Amino acid sequence: METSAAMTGHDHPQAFADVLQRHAGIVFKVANTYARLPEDRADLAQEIAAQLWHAWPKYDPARSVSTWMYRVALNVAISHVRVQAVRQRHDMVPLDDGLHDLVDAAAPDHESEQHLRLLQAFIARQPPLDRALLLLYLDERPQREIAEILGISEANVSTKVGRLKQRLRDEL
Amino acid sequence: MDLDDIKSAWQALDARLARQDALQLELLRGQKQAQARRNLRPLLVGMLLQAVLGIGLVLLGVGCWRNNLEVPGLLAAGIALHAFGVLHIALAGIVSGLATTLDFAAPVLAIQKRLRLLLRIQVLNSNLCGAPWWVMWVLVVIGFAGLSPTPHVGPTPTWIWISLALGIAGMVGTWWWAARGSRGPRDPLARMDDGADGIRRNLRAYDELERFERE
Repeated sequence: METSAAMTGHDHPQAFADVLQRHAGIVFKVANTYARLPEDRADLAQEIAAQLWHAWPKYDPARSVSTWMYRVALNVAISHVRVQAVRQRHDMVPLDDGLHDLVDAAAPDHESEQHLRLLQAFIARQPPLDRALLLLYLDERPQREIAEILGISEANVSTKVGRLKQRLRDEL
Repeated sequence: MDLDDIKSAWQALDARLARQDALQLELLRGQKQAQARRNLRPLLVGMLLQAVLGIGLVLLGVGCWRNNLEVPGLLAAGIALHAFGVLHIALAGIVSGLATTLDFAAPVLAIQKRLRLLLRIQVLNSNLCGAPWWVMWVLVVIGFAGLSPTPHVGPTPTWIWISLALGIAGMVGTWWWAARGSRGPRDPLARMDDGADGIRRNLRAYDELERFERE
């Protein structure tokens, strides 16, 4: 089980640094899902890390670290994306910009690169809450954990994931 | 592209992200640790100033009505200032309380609902504590006049009636404009003065949350 129950010195900054290091992938993935441009992603990752640190003293070690991290990261990212939407509207950033830096045009497997590009574009088109569900589904989190993170019932998760899969099949 | 391809693409993206230098976390920098609290500071400073203004209005109102128990106009102005001051303090307290107790480790929908509540109360705050200043500045002038130990004798000056009439018209117009803007983000009659898109953005957030819960 992914908990830090066995971890000693819960309040110590080093304990937080260790947890963040172990689960940094969650921060990266959430930042990438909600921010298109590289500098924006780096800012969002920093903001998530700052909020995780802020929330760390209240973290209950008996509960799953990943659930706690996803909750904080998604809440920060959804708030962030609402503010960024205004800036991007005024800056007129084209939809595809920011997708290219993670797609390697020189990669030998063009089909995979094309899949990656399509997936990135699909993610960028989703509203913030649907994007959270998509991220958790693609990350293969159990439905119980998705329900805990989003604050909806498992049955509701199941229905929403079913619809999401259908949309993925239809649009990609 | 089937679901397996999609998941493979996601995993490839995951691996690529892990290698990105740009996303390396600069952990535990003092300035970043403080950032979370700093984000709320402008709102809290604004609410503190509103509460201080509210205390000033209460003091002015109480001074005015206690000094003029026999003069109906000044008594009414004093009570109105007192009530307006209490409203300023109460709404400042509610907004600050909601903002400072936001727990980002709560479930996503719970936090989004909390943020929606906070935005609604902020809109209520600006409509109840902001728009009435069209009229309240006249009452503040009357309130200061009511503190004078020598009470005003004679009819109410004409400028007060004119100012009150203009103020009421302005306040009703402001409320009408605000109500018109809250029809919906896609309504063609939604407010045209929403230059930074803030109001429509909030309305979109309400729409999206309701849709996500409903579906």
